[in-house]
Amino acid sequence: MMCREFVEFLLDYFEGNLPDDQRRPFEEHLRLCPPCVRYLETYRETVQLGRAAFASAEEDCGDDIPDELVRAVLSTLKRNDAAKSGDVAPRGDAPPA
Amino acid sequence: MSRLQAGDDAAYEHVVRKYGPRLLSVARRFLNHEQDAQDAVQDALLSAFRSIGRFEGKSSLATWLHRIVVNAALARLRLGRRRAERSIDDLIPRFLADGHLEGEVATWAVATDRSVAERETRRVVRGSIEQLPDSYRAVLLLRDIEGQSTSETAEVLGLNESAVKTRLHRARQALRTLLDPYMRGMAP
Repeated sequence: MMCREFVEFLLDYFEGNLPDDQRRPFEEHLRLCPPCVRYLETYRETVQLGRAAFASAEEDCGDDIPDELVRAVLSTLKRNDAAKSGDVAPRGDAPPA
Repeated sequence: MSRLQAGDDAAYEHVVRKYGPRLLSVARRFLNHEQDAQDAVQDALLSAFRSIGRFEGKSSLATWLHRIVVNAALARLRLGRRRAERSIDDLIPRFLADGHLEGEVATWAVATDRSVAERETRRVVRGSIEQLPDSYRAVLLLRDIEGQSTSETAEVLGLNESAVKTRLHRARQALRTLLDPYMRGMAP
């Protein structure tokens, strides 16, 4: 296996979906290729950083909701005009997976 | 909840002011234009209030509203899909003719577990995610941030699972390239 295939298989490797006949050469390449070791590590760190970037409440507390948006929602409700907007509410209230 | 379901104006306003900021920040993740994000929040709240009779209380109101605003933001993204997206090919690794990685791959000097605790790093990461084209950012957010499965993401975006996996992998690779200078300690 060369670096090109190694990088191509990274997603399946992380998700545990790499079949045995591909995982063995993948891990053998990992043992022999320091640049791919570093690529795998930084790819993994990228996923961790992405998840952590939105895990904090800081981004939610920085701004208040603009008054004009509040007024727009409430005035539309008062006009009983809501039926004109798109229906994006889910059926029932099951939480996202 | 009973006041909401009875159509009490003050109850509506309380919900808008209490949950609006959080909903707006979620919409901004998906939509780079502020007006689009605000429009998505308005769509979401109006849809939620119209559907409040369906809310069964099995999840929290915050969770229910979160799901609705994600749907609203994705609907707005679909509306804007006619705009041409920039290519991310220059952010994807290149290979030599013999299949080896081209160029240097450096270890990141900044320790990830320590840096995620720093506000500045989180700001840089969010800014880098914002730079991704809409179709890649949406997949990355749904899979890595919202925690949706490949099949759920495929369904909500109208893609097949193979396309979701390809876009997620390319989005992560592009994000890695964008973060590389900062995480190597080379960016200010």
